[in-house]
Amino acid sequence: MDSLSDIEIIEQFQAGNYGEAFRNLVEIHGKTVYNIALFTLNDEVLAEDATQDAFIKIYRNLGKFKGQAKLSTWMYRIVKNVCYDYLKKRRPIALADMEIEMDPASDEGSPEEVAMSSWQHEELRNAIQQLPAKQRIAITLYYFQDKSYEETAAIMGQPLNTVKSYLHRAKATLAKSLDFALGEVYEPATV
Amino acid sequence: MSQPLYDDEFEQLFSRAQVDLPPHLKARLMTIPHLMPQPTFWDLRWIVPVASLTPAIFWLLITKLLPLMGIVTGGFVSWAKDLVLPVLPALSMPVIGICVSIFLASISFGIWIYWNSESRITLVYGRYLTGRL
Repeated sequence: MDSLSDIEIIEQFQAGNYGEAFRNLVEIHGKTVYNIALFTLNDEVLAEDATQDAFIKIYRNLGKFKGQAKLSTWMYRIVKNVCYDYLKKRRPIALADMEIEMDPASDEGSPEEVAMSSWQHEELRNAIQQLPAKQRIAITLYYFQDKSYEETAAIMGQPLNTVKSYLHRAKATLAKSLDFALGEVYEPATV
Repeated sequence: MSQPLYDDEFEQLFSRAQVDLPPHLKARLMTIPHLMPQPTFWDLRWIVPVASLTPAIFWLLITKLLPLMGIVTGGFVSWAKDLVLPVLPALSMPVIGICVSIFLASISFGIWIYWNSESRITLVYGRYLTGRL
């Protein structure tokens, strides 16, 4: 199915095709919303609940969306706020209880590669958990959305330079912790 | 010692770490429009609150506004009093109007709370429909 543009989805909604418009939103943005929640909260059950809460808020408020920003920016801002709320009241997470459903595309390869990939996911998520909440959300939004500083800043409601600072510090921290764990896997380029 | 990871490596790492939307979660999300219908013209969520104000509006119209506009309403007011006061002789028309308004407003508030309750979806329908409980 060709994905609809933001404007087409809004038009569908305004025409009263609420269910169809919402279904398209889930098809287009559901995976990103879930990944943002999952990597921010590092808990599958919480991420599912946060995703659902976010989409409920999106559905209830879509009629009020005036198009001042991109639809995705508006949606991910809601997701970010929901994740913040969950972080405030989160319970301790047992990392061992987590089981990741892998992206089919990344499942291709030998069993060793699949095992290595799964290990990398866990390392990445564990490393992200060590970051302060704002850095965690910033880097998740940045890499799971458009890789745009401006969009990330708009979603977070923070000045551009502040977000760049969050990302810089987050990447430095992640590189430090992941380099120890993944350095041999990626063989990164030399300076 | 390994070199630090750079932006490309991060991008590759995040890209490979993405997971698909779980099917049961997708099913939960798809139930939202069915469980939370958008307001329509004949939606009780706005009709009931507005209707709850009707007695007060009528009372205001008959006793205050129409006389102000020079329209003789004495007969109408006495007819309304005759209709109500034999049943509730101790109450005046304004008190009856306010009581009815409060009663209907409380009912409409209850309906509004129920229809807009997110926990209704989260706790009752969402997980139940997808077998998560």
